[in-house]
Amino acid sequence: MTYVILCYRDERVADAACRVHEAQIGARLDAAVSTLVADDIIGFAVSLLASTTSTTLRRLRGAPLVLDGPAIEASLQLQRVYLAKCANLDAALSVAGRLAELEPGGVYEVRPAETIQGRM
Amino acid sequence: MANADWIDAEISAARPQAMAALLRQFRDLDAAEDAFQEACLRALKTWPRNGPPRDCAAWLIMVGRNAGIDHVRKQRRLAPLPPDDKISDLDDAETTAAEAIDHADYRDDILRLLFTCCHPSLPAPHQIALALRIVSGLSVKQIARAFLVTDAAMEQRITRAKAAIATTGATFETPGAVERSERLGAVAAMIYLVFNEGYTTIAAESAARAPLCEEAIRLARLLVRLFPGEPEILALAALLMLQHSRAGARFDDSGTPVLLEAQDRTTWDRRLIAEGSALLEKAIRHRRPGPYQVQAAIAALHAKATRFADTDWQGIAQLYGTLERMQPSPVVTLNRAVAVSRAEGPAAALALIEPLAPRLDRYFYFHGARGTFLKDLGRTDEAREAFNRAISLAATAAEAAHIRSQLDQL
Repeated sequence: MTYVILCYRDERVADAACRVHEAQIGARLDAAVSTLVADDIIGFAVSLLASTTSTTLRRLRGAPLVLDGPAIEASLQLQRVYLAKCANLDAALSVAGRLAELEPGGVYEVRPAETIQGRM
Repeated sequence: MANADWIDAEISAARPQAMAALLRQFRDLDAAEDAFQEACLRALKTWPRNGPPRDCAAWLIMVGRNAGIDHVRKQRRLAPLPPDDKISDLDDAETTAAEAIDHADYRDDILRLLFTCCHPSLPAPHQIALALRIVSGLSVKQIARAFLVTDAAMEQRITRAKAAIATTGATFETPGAVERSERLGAVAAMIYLVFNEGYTTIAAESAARAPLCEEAIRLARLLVRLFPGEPEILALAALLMLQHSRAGARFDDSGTPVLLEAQDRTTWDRRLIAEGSALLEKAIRHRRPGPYQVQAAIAALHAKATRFADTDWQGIAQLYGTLERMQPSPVVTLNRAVAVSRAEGPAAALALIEPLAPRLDRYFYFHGARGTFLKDLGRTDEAREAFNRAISLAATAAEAAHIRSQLDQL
């Protein structure tokens, strides 16, 4: 089964956190993800820029409307996306748990995926 | 993350919103600061035990409000205070009440807090110091270090700034659309000042001043979150990020400034460049050009060039031309001339700056640039004269040393 693992974070807290500390977290996380990719557990990993760089498109009465900012205004914003091949929910949660251990500020959501197109 | 670390990060993240709400409540900077301080002390006591509340800012506002009101009561001796352990046991009540706080006003609250710090009666250095103290929560010691003054002098500066605000009075009415946009402009300018205060530095001071650049970027990000569709605010954030991306390359190991053409571009912060470029792209889509967008576009063209030789000087010269029309200034013209000399050659650049001589005669960079153009044209004697003039105006040893190395090449 393929699971999407979504990591959310409070960006204001990330902003306020110590730069050096954040860089160390990032490096440890990158190393862990590399191992998971090598073990064929994670298919791909995406790290997103801050949600302030987001642009949202909606259709309003048939016409596209482009707005600045993320689709959902919330204190937690999506920060990383992983696609993982896991036998079941427990396995997916344990992958999320391994990542969460390295990044204490992160909140992880695990959701099964249905159709995947492209190379994975 | 250790306990203290996450609490620190949570508190500084919540600080602008909490301080802003407390300022609205108490209408006095000192009272708001005391209330916030009190709330932080309670947080340090209860959060490690109970975990962070779901909404830290709301919790701090609620507790700060109660603490502030208690304080007023205490002063008036109207009602006895409940014992401290009673207050701390009210966690659940505090949390529930905190969640009921209306978030709708917080945008204007934060803007007011920032705007209060850039009150027109305050000189620029006071504005910066006050913003760093009140909004960013830097300690007086940290700010004093960044400004290279004693703690006592900085304390006095901040106290005076607060007193000036208290007498002239901040406005607490909800701003109208025009007023809001004026405030936003003033706040943007103040954030830019904070950044420049950190950016304009020499190596020996760069460690003490680096926090100013980081704080400015944080404030700019905060403003972008509050006003996501304001192109000039997006561009301000972009400009600061693009400039700051070069921070690691600006000085060599011995502390000598490294010119743009000699910087190791592999050490530029690619993620900051990507974020800045993305924000600029969003800003430009609004088709409401402004000076921050033009400056950010210039910085982006530098950032885009993987080698100095790849720099789009033609594009940069054009952008400086646009900036000149928006904000005419001899310094902007001088910058355009530097780009023109790269794009079209030194003769065109020299012709561009000759009319500026009367106004920039006491400006180091004018004579430095003029000397370089003359040197490139082979007019050695005049170049030497210009370089000597520049050395006499140099503010730092590094500036003088750079010009001397130019003289040596003649």
